[in-house]
Amino acid sequence: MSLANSRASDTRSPHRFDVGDLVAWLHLCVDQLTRHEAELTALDEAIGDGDHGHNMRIGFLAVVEDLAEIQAGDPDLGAILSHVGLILISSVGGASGPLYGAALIEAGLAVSGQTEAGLPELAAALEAACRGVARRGHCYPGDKTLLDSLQPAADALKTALSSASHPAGSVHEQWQTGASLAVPLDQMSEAARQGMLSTIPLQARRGLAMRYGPRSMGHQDPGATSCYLLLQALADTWKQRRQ
Amino acid sequence: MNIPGEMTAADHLWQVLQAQADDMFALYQLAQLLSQSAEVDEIAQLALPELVRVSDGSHAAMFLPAVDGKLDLIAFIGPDVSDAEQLESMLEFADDEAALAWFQAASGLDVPPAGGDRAILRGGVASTAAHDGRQPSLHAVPGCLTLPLVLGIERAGLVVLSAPSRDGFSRHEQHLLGTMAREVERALQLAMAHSELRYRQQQVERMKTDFVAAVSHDLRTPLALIQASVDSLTHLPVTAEQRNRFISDIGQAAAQLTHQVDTILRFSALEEGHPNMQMQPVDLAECVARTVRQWGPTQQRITFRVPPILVEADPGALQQVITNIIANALKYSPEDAPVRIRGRAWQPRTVEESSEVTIPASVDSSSLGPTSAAIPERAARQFSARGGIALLDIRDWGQGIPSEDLPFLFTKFFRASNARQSSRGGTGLGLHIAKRLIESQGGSIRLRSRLGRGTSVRICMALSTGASN
Repeated sequence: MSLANSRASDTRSPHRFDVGDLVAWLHLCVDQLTRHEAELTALDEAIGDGDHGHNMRIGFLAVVEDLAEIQAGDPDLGAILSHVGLILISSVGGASGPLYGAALIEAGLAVSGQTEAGLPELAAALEAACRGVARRGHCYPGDKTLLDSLQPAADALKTALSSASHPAGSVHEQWQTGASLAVPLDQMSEAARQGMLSTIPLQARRGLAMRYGPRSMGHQDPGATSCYLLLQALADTWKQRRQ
Repeated sequence: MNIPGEMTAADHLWQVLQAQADDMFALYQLAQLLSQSAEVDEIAQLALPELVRVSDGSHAAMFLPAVDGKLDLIAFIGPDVSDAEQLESMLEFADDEAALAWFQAASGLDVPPAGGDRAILRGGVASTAAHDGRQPSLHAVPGCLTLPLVLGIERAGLVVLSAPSRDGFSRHEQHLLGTMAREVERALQLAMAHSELRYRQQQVERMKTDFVAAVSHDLRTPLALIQASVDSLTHLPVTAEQRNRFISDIGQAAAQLTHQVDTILRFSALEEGHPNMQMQPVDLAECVARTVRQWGPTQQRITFRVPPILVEADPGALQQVITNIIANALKYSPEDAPVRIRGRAWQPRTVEESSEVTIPASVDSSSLGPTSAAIPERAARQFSARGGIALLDIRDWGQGIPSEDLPFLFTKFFRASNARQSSRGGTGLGLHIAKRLIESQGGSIRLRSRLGRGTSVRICMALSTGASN
């Protein structure tokens, strides 16, 4: 693919995620969460209180309702993400609100002041999101939480970044600054999916599911599932708008 | 992004707010988790992992006070104990120092050199509320934090956390963990109240079942005797002496039945509302004589010597009270053992003197509660105001009552352990009704007993001044 051509013919960079993409992603999140609400509810009924599907849909609906206001300021990816995080804290019920809120606020801080995000920035943002969840939820990967989808996703982006950074001459330079996001995002989405599935045999060590003890084993974690859906939506948004 | 290392005022504020939000989330998670449970064990098993996580620790143990004041190990977690199995432990500790010493050994902390009263804890402040009644405070040695759990007056447990990889716990963390301990306290208090309620419910159920069984037995036995006697009189040729014997048996059985039915009806009336006492001057000697006659003209066990003094009373109620006490005396002593009734008038010179004589020297056997202490004084004042007290003592030489049962004797449905074990029936209402009736008449009733020797019941009533109120 000719990088120069694509740059000239399209204001959307093939390598950088922009505010328009972010907005599109949020809308797609609402679609996904609506489509999968019953599934999330069923998962949460097994090892929780059965409201995760409803909570996530309502929360992200509140976000898109406020989108006009969110976008009113300068196109600042970080500020928008943090603002979305703040809305999620108060609009998503249960423990998920504060956790997703922390994730997005931290991610927003990592890309604060930037109008676009390339692979390095996205990797940093996702890693910051993981830190936010781990700090607030006092959780580690393997505890059977949304972090079990989020951390592998962050790791996948880091891996993609380090392999793109592998010294290989002048082509490398272009890749370093303008690495295409399509493949890394798909790798990220797949890693999140694997992470989500990996929660099935785990015994819950955080949250309400903890009460079920060994009986929580054999059930896919609802938080990890919704997290995968959001990350998959990220990859899908990119595909829809760039390819 | 800001230059690393440089923090603006806004950044600092942001961090503070985030930290507070994190704290609130931790409390929310804990509260939500604890609200799911009403069992002490489960609360411990849910709370300890949360506390370990938030404190970034490795081990934690919860100790709760047993009935005798010692500390029981309820739950313990650590990296060597798998999540699926908590330490099932019967370990008991004399006090929180012993508990802490065990925990420090179990979690691998260095135990600081001993010396002094609280020397096992370095850098700590006061002791737990159980020991000195002050506000609970936190003990912190490097790597170890103890959190008191205040569960009631002079009842406190402990949570001990160990984080040996850390230097210590910041004030902020101590504060957060202390607040989480308050949540755990609340949940535990609720769980304990819950289980006590359940225990009492079971007790009441058991008492009701016992009562119904006892009543059936007590009604059937005399009825059977009456039936058998009537059958014999109807169908068999009997001598005059045998006939008299049968007739006497029928009389006694009928008296028993009457007594039993009166008891139940009287109890029912008491439960429903106020016993309407028709107070009037009552000849005590005549009342006793009338009462004793219920056991038939030929009975020989009961003797009485009572002066014809007038007491202020409700005649029916007074008769019922004396009946109940005599019935107990007869039932719980051997068939040939006497029941002796003595009465006298007595004029106390002071209220104190009056209180002394109305309360026998032995265990105060009235039912629990503040009013029972107040009544003797009120009665005593009344007595001295009205010009004297009538004392009626009813003594038997029967099996007596175990001293540990004495405080409960007047409680409804209560039967002493040796009474329950004997084959004789009983509803546990006789003394309860007696006490309520006597006190409704402004009198008092007290009891002395020794296991194996016998029992003495003293009734005190105000002497009548002649005019009824």
